[in-house]
Amino acid sequence: MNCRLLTRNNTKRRNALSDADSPQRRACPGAGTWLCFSALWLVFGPFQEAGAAVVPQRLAGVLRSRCLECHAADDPSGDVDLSVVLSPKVSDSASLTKLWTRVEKMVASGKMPPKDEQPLSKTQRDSVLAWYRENYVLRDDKEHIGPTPLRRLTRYELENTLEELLQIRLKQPYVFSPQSAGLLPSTIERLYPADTAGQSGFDNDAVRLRDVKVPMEKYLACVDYALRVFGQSSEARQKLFGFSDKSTKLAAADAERIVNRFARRASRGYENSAERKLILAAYLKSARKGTSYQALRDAARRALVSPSFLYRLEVSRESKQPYEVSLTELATRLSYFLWASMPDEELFRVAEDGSLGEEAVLRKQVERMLDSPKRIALAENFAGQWLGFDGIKRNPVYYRGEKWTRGVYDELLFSFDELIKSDRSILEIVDADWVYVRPELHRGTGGRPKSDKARFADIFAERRSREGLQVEAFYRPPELRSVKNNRLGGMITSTGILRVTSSPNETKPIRRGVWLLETIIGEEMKPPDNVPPLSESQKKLGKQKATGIAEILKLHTEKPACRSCHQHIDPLGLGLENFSPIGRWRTAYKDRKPVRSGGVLPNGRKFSSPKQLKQELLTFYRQQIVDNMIRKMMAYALGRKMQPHDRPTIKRIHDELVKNDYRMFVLIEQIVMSPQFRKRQDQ
Amino acid sequence: MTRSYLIPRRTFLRGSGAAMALPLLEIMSPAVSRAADTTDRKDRLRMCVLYKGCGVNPNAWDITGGSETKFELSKLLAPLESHKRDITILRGIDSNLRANGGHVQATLAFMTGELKKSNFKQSVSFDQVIADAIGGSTPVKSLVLRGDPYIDQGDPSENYLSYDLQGNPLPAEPDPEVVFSRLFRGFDNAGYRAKTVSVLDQIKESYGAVAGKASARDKKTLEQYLESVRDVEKRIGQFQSSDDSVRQKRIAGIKEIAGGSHMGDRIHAMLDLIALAFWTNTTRVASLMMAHTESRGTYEFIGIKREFHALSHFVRWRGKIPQYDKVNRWHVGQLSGFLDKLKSYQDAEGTVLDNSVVLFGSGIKHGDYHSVADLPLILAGGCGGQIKLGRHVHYQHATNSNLLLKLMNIMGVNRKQFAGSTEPLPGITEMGTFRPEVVDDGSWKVQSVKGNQVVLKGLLKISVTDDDPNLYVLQLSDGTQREIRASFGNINGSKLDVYVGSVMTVTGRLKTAAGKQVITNVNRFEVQK
Repeated sequence: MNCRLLTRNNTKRRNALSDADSPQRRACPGAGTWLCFSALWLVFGPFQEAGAAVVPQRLAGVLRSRCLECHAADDPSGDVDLSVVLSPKVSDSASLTKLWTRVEKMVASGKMPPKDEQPLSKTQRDSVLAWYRENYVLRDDKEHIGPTPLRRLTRYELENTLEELLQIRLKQPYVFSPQSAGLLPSTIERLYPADTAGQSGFDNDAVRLRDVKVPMEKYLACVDYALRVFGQSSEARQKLFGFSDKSTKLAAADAERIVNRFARRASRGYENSAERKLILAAYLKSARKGTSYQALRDAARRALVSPSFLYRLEVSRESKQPYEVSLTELATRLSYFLWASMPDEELFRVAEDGSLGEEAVLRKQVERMLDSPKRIALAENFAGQWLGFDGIKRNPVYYRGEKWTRGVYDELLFSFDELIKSDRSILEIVDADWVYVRPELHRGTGGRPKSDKARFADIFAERRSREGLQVEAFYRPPELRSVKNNRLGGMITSTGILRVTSSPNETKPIRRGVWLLETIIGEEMKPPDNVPPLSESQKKLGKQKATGIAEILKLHTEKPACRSCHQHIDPLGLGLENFSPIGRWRTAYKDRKPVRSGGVLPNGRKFSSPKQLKQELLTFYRQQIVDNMIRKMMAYALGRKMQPHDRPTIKRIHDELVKNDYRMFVLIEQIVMSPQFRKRQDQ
Repeated sequence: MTRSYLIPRRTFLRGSGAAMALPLLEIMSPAVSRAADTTDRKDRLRMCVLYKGCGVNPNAWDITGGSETKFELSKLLAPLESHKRDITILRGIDSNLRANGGHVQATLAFMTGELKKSNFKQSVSFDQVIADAIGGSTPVKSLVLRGDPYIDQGDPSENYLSYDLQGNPLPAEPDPEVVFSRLFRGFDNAGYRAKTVSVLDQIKESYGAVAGKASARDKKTLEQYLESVRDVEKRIGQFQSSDDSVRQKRIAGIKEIAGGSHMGDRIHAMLDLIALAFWTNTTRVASLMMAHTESRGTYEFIGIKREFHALSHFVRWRGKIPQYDKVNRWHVGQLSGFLDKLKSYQDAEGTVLDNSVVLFGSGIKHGDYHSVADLPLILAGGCGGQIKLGRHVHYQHATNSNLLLKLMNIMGVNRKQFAGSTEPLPGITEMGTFRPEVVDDGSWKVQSVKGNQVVLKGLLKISVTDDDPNLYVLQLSDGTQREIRASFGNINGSKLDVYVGSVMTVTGRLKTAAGKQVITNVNRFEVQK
């Protein structure tokens, strides 16, 4: 067979397919073979900013002499054609950024030129890295933060914000009965469509929200519903309007004060007198015909349907340079980052009296906010999407015995919250000496904290149902325990993660390995074409005895093209084989063949148990894991994908984390203090 | 037998123990009288797409033998026996992809006919072209629904079938109760409409006040808000103008609907909703994703505990086939039940089924190979007497976008082109003049043997009877077959599945193993046009 032809045809198809591929499932880990490189660069992000500058002679010389011999136009090795960087067209800028980012990564990590070639000289290497820094990281020799996108509330944020603004409860109460469990959708969740993740990996991605139409009819239904719930709560009426009797008659001045205050809170302090007047006018018009309560309610509706409620507007200076946002804008950014909701009274107050401008006050507010049960948003919304355990909730296909499912979900929720609550190292996501575990699995765990407060996550106190007793009767939440054996500890071996990365009946080592690489280590993966079935490898093994999944996989991925990725994937997935699809520890398969959780990492390090795998992850992949966690949390905080110009900030945060035992608070605080978070840039 | 899946809502809520109740927007106003149903027949045509991902087992789907009008239904199609005169089974229609697709591509191309560059924006889907042209005369322009709860988070594009005229994906609605209130409550109330109109006017005022102060970039984003306002205005206008008495009378008899607890119930409920929406002329265009193309859904209500998508990769493990077939048969059964329903509703002229066209199918044929040639497709309903029914039409590599163009035309959309296609598919409104099978002219035979190099011509078939994904067979004129072995179903980088059903000349090495002649190392093949 003509090998050359085969390669080219395959490449063509891969190109065609990759057009429709998602940004989330990408290319191979940086294994550094040609093929892997090719899979990596096919990923184009449409919203890059950097233009296409002309490559200086010297760098062009380096590229010509050291790269283009293989990566040239006609049949470029690994389908990476670097000749385009020498004659860039303006229309190419997005793909050029991508291409240069890959080039920089390969050169910086020393993976290119390949091992059997002479490495680049220091001057050659520096010329590549400097070019990248000047053209993609910096602008006019200065750091910048890229244009700040306009944020629209997601469904999750909308529900939270309506709760806070109207002082009502909309979330599905934490109710358990024989028929229903705590994972049922709330009314808002049923009325309003779910958001989908954008390029940042999160559903609060501003670009994605911009591209999806506002489901207006449903949005209005949500507003109506929230106002109806509000109308039914005398407590809420009292808090917001200062009276609970619906027939109360207000003096004009009082009414104006209430309306103004509500409107100001609804737009989170975005000053706009023209709109304020419109809302007041709505009150006055309605007050002529009905009661003060009805008129206030109409004014509230008026404020809720304004774009300044659904969008987080900020005052613009139309500047190319980053500039500080106002304190109310900062307060809003902060509350949506930490609570996925609007600022509460106190945060508004420190923003309005100017004290939030002092770093000490800002830091104190972050601390206070992380002490509040509302921080659950970070576990539920950020970690849920990042680690993928929100799939347990979003996809009812995982509902097999609802009580079980809620417990599984809560283990993850409480574990991530524990990192915040006790300010632990973010590396404890991978391995820890504690675990949140369901009561039925307490065996094998050790002591528990003395106080109930420390033992149970208190974050759901506010979401308990009114029928509180019923909860305890049907459901005992996971408890914090110390780990006694060498099995549990770290979220990556929690039941939920192990379940989501398996099929119901069997483990999927490759799915688990890919999950670790993409989610924890932060590699971009792309599924290959033309995968031969496992059965083929099984057949080859034929009569050999003791064929386990490891041997089958080894044969299955023996081709060099497969190896380049699978040498990274397989050991990680196989290292978790001791955990069944539902996360139970096992030492033998159903057919009594022994389970072996072991393997060799690409650096040659061997391990033979999940615990050892976790330790290897924390050494071999530590840099990448930390970098990935920063990027993920920043992307969530900023509502956008990370770009080359974010690198200096990411590096600074990384350095701070290394100095401070990787503490969660340091990560959060550093993001809040970063220019990306505190500043705005318009172009 | 027609069963009603409309469980009274109250009963459902009691049964499920759920503590919450959805807000039913408003209670209906009394009927506003207008003229009786004198609408033109062409204004009563309806179109529905029922999509099920994950392909089929070709051996169980394909009808063998017979003629265009006389044929026996296959194993998977058997649930349609009572509707044999209401359907036309389409064979030999290929996706526009022309190369084996992944899940995403198969989903994207099914209703749009093509793939666009961006992974999120696509070209418009054919249902939305129809909705845009005819949806203006009904309260709701189109319904976009899903019954499969699975949402793929890894790749959002997999979750959509319908794209609006600007190429934005339209999220499918998952909750039957919410759809119910939107269709038969809410805007049917004139008071509620008036209230909403005034709210929308307020929004436009606010927009004016707010947008003026936003940055140029933000202003662009905000425009989207205004666009959504205009959409609702249009919709309200449609409710208003179609406030006729026939519709009101029909709606008055409808009981509230509950979704049920499992996927099967939800799919039933969605199909019932479509039937009701068609009958009451609330909408004339609908699509339902019955199974996601990468569905991790299980069908425990029919005893299937494995994920549907996992079952669809059956070649690696043939034990899955009975379960895979069972799920696919269940989907065909749903189609059959849906046709019962449409038939049971009387329209002014004939039944609702007579005035509808239903397209049922999947974006891939072979569930494991993801082959995109010879898609499994069924048309049902006469579309106002236009479609010739009771047939099994076998095309020779027709293109899906031609079919979509044809469907648009018979739905009254005067469009000459869609997704690169300029020819409406023949053989829908008239008999097919195609030969049912490739005609064996006697030339299918071994043409030359030199050493172990053999050149032979024959009809390429897929082998799923053997536990071997790399095995194909070449049918020769003398009735014998030769096996072809192609690594990963690949020859020179081309997936062989694309050419299954075609006559081809193959050059390769001849080996004899276990008494059988097998062609390996194929280095050349040519497909007969």
